[in-house]
Parts: sequence; C-alpha cells; structure tokens
Amino acid sequence: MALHSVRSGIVARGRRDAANSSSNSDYQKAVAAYNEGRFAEAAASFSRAAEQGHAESQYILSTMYEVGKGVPQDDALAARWERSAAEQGHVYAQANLSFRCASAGDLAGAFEWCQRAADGELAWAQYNLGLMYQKGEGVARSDAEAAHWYRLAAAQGFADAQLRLADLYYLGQGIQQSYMQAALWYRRAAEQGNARAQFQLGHLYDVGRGIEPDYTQYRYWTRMAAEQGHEDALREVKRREYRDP
Amino acid sequence: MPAEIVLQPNPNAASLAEKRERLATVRSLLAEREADIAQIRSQLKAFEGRYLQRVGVLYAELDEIAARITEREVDLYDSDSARRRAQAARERARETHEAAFGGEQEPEEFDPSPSLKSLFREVAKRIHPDFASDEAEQKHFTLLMTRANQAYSRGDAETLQRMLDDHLEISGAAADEGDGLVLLRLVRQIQHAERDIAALDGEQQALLGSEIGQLYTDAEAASHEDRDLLSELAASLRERIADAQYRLEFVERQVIALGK
Repeated sequence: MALHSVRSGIVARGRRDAANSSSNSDYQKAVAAYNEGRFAEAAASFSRAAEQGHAESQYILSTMYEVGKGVPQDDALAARWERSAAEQGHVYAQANLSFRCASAGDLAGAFEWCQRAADGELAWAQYNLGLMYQKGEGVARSDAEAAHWYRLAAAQGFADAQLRLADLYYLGQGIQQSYMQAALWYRRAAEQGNARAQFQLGHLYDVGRGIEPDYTQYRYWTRMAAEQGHEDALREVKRREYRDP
Repeated sequence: MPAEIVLQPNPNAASLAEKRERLATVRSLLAEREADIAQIRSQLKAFEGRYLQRVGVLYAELDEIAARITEREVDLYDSDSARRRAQAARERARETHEAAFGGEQEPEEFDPSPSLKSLFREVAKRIHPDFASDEAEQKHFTLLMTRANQAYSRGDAETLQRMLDDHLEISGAAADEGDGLVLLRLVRQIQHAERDIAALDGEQQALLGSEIGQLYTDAEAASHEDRDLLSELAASLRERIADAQYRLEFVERQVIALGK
C-alpha cells in the first residue's frame, strides 16, 4: 500500500497522543492510589503504564525515584524514566532533564532539552533558555535571543522573565531601548511581588522615566521592595526617612 | 487360476500424485493469503480514511491556530527568532493540512510506458483463465490474473517480470511431457507458490507494523475494552484546540492594545 510519508507523520502523532491519553487504566489506578497516599501501590501502577510508553506516568515515576517516594531512591532509574518521557515530548520531563544535564556539567545537553521544553510553551523553560542565551551557556551569547525567550515567558506571566525583559529594555540590550516598555514589564513583575522589579519601578517613578514622575508611587514601591529585604530599597528608605521623615 | 494382475502404481506416478496434491495445498494456501492481505489492506485504507476525517483534520486545525499565534507574536514584537518560529509553525501547519486533506486528489493519470504495456500483454496471454487446462488451473490463473492486473495498474514491472519468468521456467520444457519433466514442473510450481506465500507474509508484517497498522491494532484493542480510540483522540484534540484558541485571542487582544 502506498502510504504517503506526510501521512504517516500525522498518523504517528495520533498514535503517540493515543498512547499517552489519560484513559490508560494503569495510569488511572496509579493516580487514585497516589491521591490516597498509597505510594508503593501508585509506583507499581505508574511502572506498568510507563512500560507501555505512557509519558506522564514515566515522568511521575522519575520524580518518585528521584526522592524515593513509594520506591527506593534511585538516581539511575529516575534519569532513565525522565529521558523516556522527555523523548516523547513531555515538557516537564524535558525541563528536568535539562536541569540534570546542567548539574552534570553538560551545558550543550542542558540547552538542547531546555530548547525543546521552551518550544513546548513551558514558561520556566522559556525563561531559562533566555538566561542561557544571556550568559552564553551551551550556546553562543545573544541578548536578542534572550529577549525573545524572556518575552514568551513574560507573556505567560512568569515574573522573573518579566523582570529580565524589563532590564533589557531599560539598558537597550538586544532590543530597542525603551523606558516605557521597561516600566510596563517592571510593573507586571512588581505586581507579582518581585522585590527588584518593585525597586526598579519605584526608581522609574522617582526619576520619571517611561512614566510620569509620582512621589507617592515611588514611596509605595520602594517600601514594598524594602519590606522584602531588598538592600538598595532599604538604603533608599533610610536615606529618605532622614531627609523626608 | 488366472494370474491376478495387481496394478502397482509406478514410483514415478506415486510421486507425481503426491506433488500434485502438495501443489493444490500450497496454491489454496496462497489464495487464502492473498485474500487475507487484500482484506487487511482495505481495512487499513478505510481506517486511515476515518482517522484523517475525525482526527487528522483536528491536527490541521490545531497547527493552523498555532501558526497564527506565532505570526501574531511577530506583529507584537518583531525579531529574527520570532520570525523563524512563525515560519516553522506555518510550514508545519501546511504539512499537516496537506496530510489531512491532500489525499483525495491522489489518483494520478494512469499512463503506462510501452515496455510495461507489452510486458503485461506477455504475462496476460500466458495466464489467461480461459486457457487453463483444468478447473484447478483455471482457479489459479484467475488469481494470477488479478495479481498481474494489480501490478500493472501500479506500474510494478518487477512483479510482472517475475510472473513471466515463473511461467517460462515452468513451461519451457512442456513440449515433451515425460513424467520426469512433469515432476520437475510440479516441483517448481510448488516452489513458486511457497516463495509467494513468504513474500505475502512479509507484506502483512510490513502493513501491520506501519504507523497506521499499529494505530489500527491499538484501536482494536481499545474497542475490546469498550473504548473508541478515535473519539478519545478527537476529544482531547478539541480541548487542545480550545486552549490554543484562547491563547490566540489573548495575543490578538495584546496586538490591539498596543495599536499595531
């Protein structure tokens, strides 16, 4: 039968998705056992589903081996199941594998798996990929690429990425300099309680860059940062209390 | 006392009868296999059609939305990487669309080369069922004719040539039909049938081992548990499409908010 090669791609995709559906009976048993705190039983059921190629089960099983929950702690097995799930496109497993590579000093591997997880829309991975580009870890340094990945994570509401993106706008690194954009992204991170973003936003209100200067806003955001122990903010608050009690 | 004449079949005749029986057996096995394969092929074809109709089109829809999201992201924040991502997503959407919808206009114009035509004629005139010497041979010729027709319509010169070689090998010495030659012919016919059965076994394994074959096996297994695999796939895809649609609307609102 002349099975079209483009078609066998779309069929393979269906097979993969079907194999990973949540209706896998061993997976369902495992989840039920896990939720009732019967971890050894859960691990056994996850193992059966994992052997059938169920990616979510492989991922959970790897985390159980990692910490020794329901099974004896075993790094080798944790790594094995993590890789199986990662290779099937499980984004959390890809992110964990990236972290495992980085811990073992394999920066190229860390970058590659992080890239896959980032392509899978995982905000944490998009943020980390940005960091790798910014530091040149496992890949050639590029602020423009860093800005791209920070932005994707920032758009998903990832506060650290919003802060980093704001920094790049503030400094005009890898991206057209803009205090307005910097203020916008500092604010989003600040509203999520990020201390450095709060301090930076306060500073922009103080000097009136990218936003209208506003003393009340400046005091509010600097205090918020100081309450979290941000050192520059604490110094600022002390200086202000001396001059403006 | 009249001497009783016991008709002792000569050893050659016994051997001939045995070979004839053996040939009939392998040929009926071959016919069964051909029918099995034809059934599997048409089941897989029908299943593939259902799959593309119920699931493939949803993949196409999902990839289309994903491509639009990345394109809107370029509108939002233009950069080299954003554009590369949008291009890759658009390419993937195009491929999926083609895989899901492109199949129908497949039957190409059938335009056999002159050499294929004459090869087919050479084969056909030798195995035409009308020229069979007995009923068993007629049955076998009908099967061969079907096979030759299929090979011809898919332009498979190799199979046609093999069929012709088979025939020439068997009938080459047919002018003088001594028992020895008949025996030799039978042995070769048995060998040909056994070889064809082995080839069909290989084809069956390839069919069932292909992606669509395995998905079909999975779907059959699921149906024994009263589950409809294609419906489950379609349902989970619809959820993913709804998610993607939500993300697309989110990005579009951002584009509007920024007045781009």
